[in-house]
Amino acid sequence: MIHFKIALRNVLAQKFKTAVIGIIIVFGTVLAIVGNAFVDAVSSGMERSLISSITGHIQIFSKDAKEKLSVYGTSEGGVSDIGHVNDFLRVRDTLIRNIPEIKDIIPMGSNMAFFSPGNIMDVRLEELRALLKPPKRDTARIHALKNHLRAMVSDINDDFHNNVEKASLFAQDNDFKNAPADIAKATAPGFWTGFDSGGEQKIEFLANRIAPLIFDDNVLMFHFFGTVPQAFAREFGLFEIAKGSMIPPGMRGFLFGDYFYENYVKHRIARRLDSIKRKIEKDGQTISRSKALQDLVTANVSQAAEIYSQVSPDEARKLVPALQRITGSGDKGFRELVAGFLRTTDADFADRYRFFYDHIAPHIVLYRVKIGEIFPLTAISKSGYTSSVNVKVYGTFQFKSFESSMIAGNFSIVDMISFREMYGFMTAEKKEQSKALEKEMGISNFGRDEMESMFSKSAPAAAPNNEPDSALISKMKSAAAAALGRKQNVIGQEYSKEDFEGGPFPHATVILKNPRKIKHVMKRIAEVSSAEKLGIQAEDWREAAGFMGQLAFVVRAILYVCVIVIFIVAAFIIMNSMLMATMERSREIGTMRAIGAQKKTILSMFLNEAFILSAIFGLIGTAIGILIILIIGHVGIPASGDIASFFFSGPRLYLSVNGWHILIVLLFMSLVSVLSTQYPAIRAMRISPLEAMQRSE
Amino acid sequence: MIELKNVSKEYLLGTVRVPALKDISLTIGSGEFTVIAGPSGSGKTTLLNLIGCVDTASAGTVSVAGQDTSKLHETKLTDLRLHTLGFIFQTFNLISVLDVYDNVEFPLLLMKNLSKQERRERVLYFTSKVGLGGHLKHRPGELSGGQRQRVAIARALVTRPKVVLADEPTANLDSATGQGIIDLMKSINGSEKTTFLFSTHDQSIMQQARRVIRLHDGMLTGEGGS
Repeated sequence: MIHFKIALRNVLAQKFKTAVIGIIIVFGTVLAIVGNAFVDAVSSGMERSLISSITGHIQIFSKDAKEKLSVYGTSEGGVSDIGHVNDFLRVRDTLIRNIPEIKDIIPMGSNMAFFSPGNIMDVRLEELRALLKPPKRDTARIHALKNHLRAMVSDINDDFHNNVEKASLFAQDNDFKNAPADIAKATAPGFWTGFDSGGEQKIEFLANRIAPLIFDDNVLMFHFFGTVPQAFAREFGLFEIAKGSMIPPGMRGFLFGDYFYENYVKHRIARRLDSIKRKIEKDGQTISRSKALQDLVTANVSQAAEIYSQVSPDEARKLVPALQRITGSGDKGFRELVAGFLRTTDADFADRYRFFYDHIAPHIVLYRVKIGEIFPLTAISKSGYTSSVNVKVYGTFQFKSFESSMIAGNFSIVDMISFREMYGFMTAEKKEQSKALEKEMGISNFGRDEMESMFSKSAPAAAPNNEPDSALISKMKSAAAAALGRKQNVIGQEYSKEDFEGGPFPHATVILKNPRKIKHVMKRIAEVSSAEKLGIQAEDWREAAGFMGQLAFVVRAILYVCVIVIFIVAAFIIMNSMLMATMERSREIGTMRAIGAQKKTILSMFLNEAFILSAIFGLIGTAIGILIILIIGHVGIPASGDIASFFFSGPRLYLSVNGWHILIVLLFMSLVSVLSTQYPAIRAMRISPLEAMQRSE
Repeated sequence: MIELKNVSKEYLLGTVRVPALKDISLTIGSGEFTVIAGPSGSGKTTLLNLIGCVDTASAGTVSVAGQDTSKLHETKLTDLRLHTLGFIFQTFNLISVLDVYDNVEFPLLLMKNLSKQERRERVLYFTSKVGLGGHLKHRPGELSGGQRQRVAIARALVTRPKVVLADEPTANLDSATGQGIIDLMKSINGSEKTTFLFSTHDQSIMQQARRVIRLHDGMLTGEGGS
């Protein structure tokens, strides 16, 4: 008791030492507690984000897979080479029958797709092509489009003559060897005067020879999952349609992830304006103070061409007075006015943002793929070749409360039938189509001889089917046309549940009734697969998320390294302070030893002191830490920027108190102060009772 | 009670051996009130340190209460200091963060075998004996030099030691206060039969001792008594 009393009195008496050690302990405790809560929140946010968006609780895939499944792709950016499992319905039914904890299983496949929407000239040429078709002839619009195209050609011509770099690039590249002549042809007044006559050929010329001269980075690359959209929406409860509509039941179709649609498909300038608006409104930033916002404004100004090159000269003329009004500028040139308009400040941002969407957005390509449009989705098939399927974009989707999460919003989904087709699986439909094709052509035994006879000049004498070549070719043509018709009809065709779910699948998401049973269910899947010869293996969500699943672990590791470094520094400072105190108190310690205190009494006194310090200041630190957590738990940390929203898995990060962590941090902090007291205590134990006698002779 | 046979003590000052005590033999009996006298550097404190078991002799034997201190382990020596000896220091050496009561109680707590009641009785007895019954809650910093030395005396006596060793107990006190301390020690020597052995170079104090052991340059130069 007296040791404790002396220790307590020492703590109170040596104010400077106590303050130094106290501040360190409080700081270390607060950091460790808040840091842990932060990592917990990030980790559970990412876990929820992963489980409720794509990985589900468990993923199953072929037992013979060459690699482990990583649904977000491999670290090289490709798709995991996992092969496929043949019969989804059998696998699903067998597992659900044998493992009651499984709620549902949804077939999936992941792949990378790319799509080149074409540059602005392609887009305008496509519009013109549609307008020139009879019977509708909107002459005013045709005229405006022609003027716009002519202005674009003029820009290319100017660029060609003024930009030495580009001219030399054209000269070196064989593909562009005709560029000077083509440009000259397209800029000649005669080319435009008689445009309406032979318009189709001129459009082809512009599309094939001139449009490629506009260099841009217009190719969209994205990650998509094939699945059964209805089942996906049902089992991932947070799924919701953000724009457009859900793919109707039984239909093929495509849904963009809303995050991806807004951040990659949308016009760059509009995207930046949205981002500035979000940061001003949600995070309370201002352009004048935030470097990030200033950078966005600067980027918009420097890329003003992305607007003025998309607006036709006629529309530009109409926009000039309005732009002069809103910018208060006397400039007459549309280009200068657009650049000035984009050079926005805090004072005029709200007005200009509204003006942009009311007056400018209708004249530009706001989204490179529009909702309701059918576009060719191109992906790499399992054989390594590219394969395309026309899909209709029904809308965009998001996950409630993860609207701004990059994890949950960066992929798109397509129906399983289109996925299989692109991936190169022989679907039932395809098999039927090829059979029908054979039947229509009457060439069920179409062999090598026939093929040769088709393509050789001299007809073989003994052709088994004695039809003339021309008839055979015309049959092929009509069959091909029928196939093409069928392919186009695919868009409007209805399919049964079995069409979507039957057949092969690369992997599948297993949803559990109770998420705590992941380990048990994984074990059961392995047992059932081996007993029923299903040929599958299972991975939990963390493994399936690949590097994403490891991120939370990495963040925690970084935190622990920081905390350990701080604790080591703290240990050294505590040790030094205690050592200094020991030296100052050597006479007192010597006296205690002289009047009969054993060495262990001195040790116990020091340990008591360390314990008191860590208890008092550890508790103060804990209280402050809990207070910070509660405040952040209430207010949330706003995710400013994409990286933050990626880690926060949402617009804000809310922390919560974890009793176990607090206990562990307190024990750890006590351990640190007890350990750092060891050396001063040993030095104190070595103090001789003779110290008490000093100065006496 | 205390017996020294041919005791010598040398200190190493760098590589040079400096003799502090040379071939000292003496006996101090129970209940004596003895002064070790001599000028500064004569070896008074060294002699007290050897008898107080806080230092060891280079040669010869030191016996305290019948135990040869050179044969005792560190822990046993500490026990011997706690149970048999009491210390009074020139600079009082109180524990600054404890009040008078706690300072006096401290050695009793080290003894471990005393009840709280017994400890309390002893502390109150000795603090009142030294005239500080009314200052129990004072910290050393709140006391005068004389009062502090009284606390130190109470602390030295509270374990009921056989011998109290005091190294220049009045050196830091004015002569009136110093005399008060000597009177107190004398009276306790009379009432408690505690052996007192203290060093001083103050002539007036030497004259009040019943026995005076004189040291010069580490050697016994004579003995006398009042």
